[in-house]
Amino acid sequence: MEPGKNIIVIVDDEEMVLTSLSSFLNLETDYEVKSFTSANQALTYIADNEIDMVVSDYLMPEMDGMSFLAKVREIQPDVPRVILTGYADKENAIKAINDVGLFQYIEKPWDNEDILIIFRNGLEKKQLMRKLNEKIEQINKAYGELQGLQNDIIKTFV
Amino acid sequence: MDISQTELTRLRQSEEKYRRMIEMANDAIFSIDVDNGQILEANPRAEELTGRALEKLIGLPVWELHPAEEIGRAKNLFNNVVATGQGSVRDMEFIRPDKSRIIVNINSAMVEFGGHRIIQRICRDVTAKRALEAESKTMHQFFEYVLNLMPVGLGLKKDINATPTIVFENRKLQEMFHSDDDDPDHNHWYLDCKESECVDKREILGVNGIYGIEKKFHDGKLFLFNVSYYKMPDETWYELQMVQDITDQRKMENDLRRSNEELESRVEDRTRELRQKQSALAQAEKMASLGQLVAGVAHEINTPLGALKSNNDLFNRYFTRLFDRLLSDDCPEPIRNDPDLKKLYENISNLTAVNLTALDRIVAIVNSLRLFARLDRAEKDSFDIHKGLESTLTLVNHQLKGRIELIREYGQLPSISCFPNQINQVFMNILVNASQAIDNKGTIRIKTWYDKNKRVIIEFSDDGQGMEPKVVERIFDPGFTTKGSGIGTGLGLSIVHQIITDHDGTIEVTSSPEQGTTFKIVLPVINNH
Repeated sequence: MEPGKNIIVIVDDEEMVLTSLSSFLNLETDYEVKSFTSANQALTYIADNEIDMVVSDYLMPEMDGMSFLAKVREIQPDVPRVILTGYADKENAIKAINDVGLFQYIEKPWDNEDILIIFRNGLEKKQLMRKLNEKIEQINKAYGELQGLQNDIIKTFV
Repeated sequence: MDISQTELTRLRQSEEKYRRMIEMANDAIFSIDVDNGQILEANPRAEELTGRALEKLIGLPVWELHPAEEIGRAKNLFNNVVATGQGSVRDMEFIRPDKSRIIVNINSAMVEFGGHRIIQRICRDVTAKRALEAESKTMHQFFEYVLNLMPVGLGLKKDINATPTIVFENRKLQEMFHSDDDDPDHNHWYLDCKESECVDKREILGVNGIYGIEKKFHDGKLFLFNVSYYKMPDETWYELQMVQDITDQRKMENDLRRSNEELESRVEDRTRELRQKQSALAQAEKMASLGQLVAGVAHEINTPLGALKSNNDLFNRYFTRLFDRLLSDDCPEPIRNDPDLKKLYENISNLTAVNLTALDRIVAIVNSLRLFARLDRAEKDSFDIHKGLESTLTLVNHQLKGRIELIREYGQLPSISCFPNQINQVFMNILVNASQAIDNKGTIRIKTWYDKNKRVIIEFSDDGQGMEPKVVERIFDPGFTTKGSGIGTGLGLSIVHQIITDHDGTIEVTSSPEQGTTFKIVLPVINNH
């Protein structure tokens, strides 16, 4: 794994979807694509590796896309989650976005340009979240230091 | 004066002959003394009529034959005859000893016999005659009474071929026609009731005949005349008219006929409605089961379609990039200018373009299928039909432009509660069909109005090629298309039907070949969809 490369996880029980998407992303972007036909295998990978974005099919035999993404959220809450669906059922999609906290949903057949934009935005969000977390950490650290300093001052005076 | 024996014999014979005649006469004959009014002689009939024997009659003053109340009158008669030489009186009475009475007509005259003046009186018994007359009068009155009671007008006129005169008219008839004497129609109807056709009939039928005619008077009254006519032996024509006021009856008949017709047409309407509902129900069921199937199919197709579409896009990108590189100056000259390579490039470019078109068409079909299966639900919203129509017209404008004249007849419509994108889809499908039905130039008319049942009606009419009835029957069937393969999916109108039914609306189509087609959509303002 080259440092600084965004890692994208794609899960679909259909090999052809994985091949198409990963080929496209490999050719058009510098993302590192990890594709899985099994949601469980993907979860195993995610448990061990920090990832930047995850895309899952909606309807899969082993585990449905929503449950899978819910589990991903438990493991890595900041990763933008995208669902890929053959149903253009906007009502259900909206419900899912609210329930699982989806970043976006993509309809099959998808448009490659749309995909690019969604990924770019998702990764930007991830980046911003990370930066935000870093800032919060810095603030916490500074706050801790400040508190230590405060304690020292109190001790000195008391 | 000498009278010869022969003469005497002849006189005796003559006297005998007259005596016999007097004795046999059917009238009572009296000889009366002119001085005191006493009866001198009487014939047997006189005995019979007075109820007295001859010996009782002789010497009886003649007025004594009458009842007490007539004695004065009887004396007057006697005095009158004495004074003037004659007199007659009708309908006096004789009273008999048994108190029974008879009615007599009396004729008296003064005669002289050998210097003696006597009064001769002839009395005719008219009792029976008077009784008959009275009876006849009673009968007459009775019949008149009955005729007046009859609920129809009865009139009798005579001399109908010369100067008609009214012989009789009953009360009902008078009520019918004499209520308003200023009314020219009603007065003397019977005098001018000479229809030429009736005259003809009379001629055909001969002496007697009957016919009926209806006459309408200017006040709206309708009368039925049943006329019978006949010729009396004295050549006088009579006509009996029986007149019925059938105004109410005819009105009732007409009302009955009308309500009967109304009932029949209502039954017809209901039957048609029922049939329509049945077929709509069957249609809806078909759609529902098909919808589930289609939903599955659409989903299954979308996955491989997604891969294909993505790959084709990718292939096109890199193929172009590859050839750009091959044809660039960086490449060795033999490769760069290889004509086969150029040919290859052009052909492959064409093929990927065709692939893209083909894929887009598959996407469009699957989208129709999805819509049909109601997968593409958006939010229910308040919707302005006219805005929807206009936005749809913008989309199909390229199909209409310069070729089809658009006539808008928009009425005042309230906003309706619906799924706007679905209703727009309906407009789109119908408008595309209409434009395809018009071969060259033509007109599409869009008419909208709001009816009293709080429903919005949108009517699309084209003057295109129209359809045969057997085509019209099937146009809402999924998969049925008259367009060539590759042009229509056969789902357009099925989707339309499905959407309208889901909105609690109805869609009707009327079409005939060469005349064009009209789609009428009825939508409730509020539905439970």
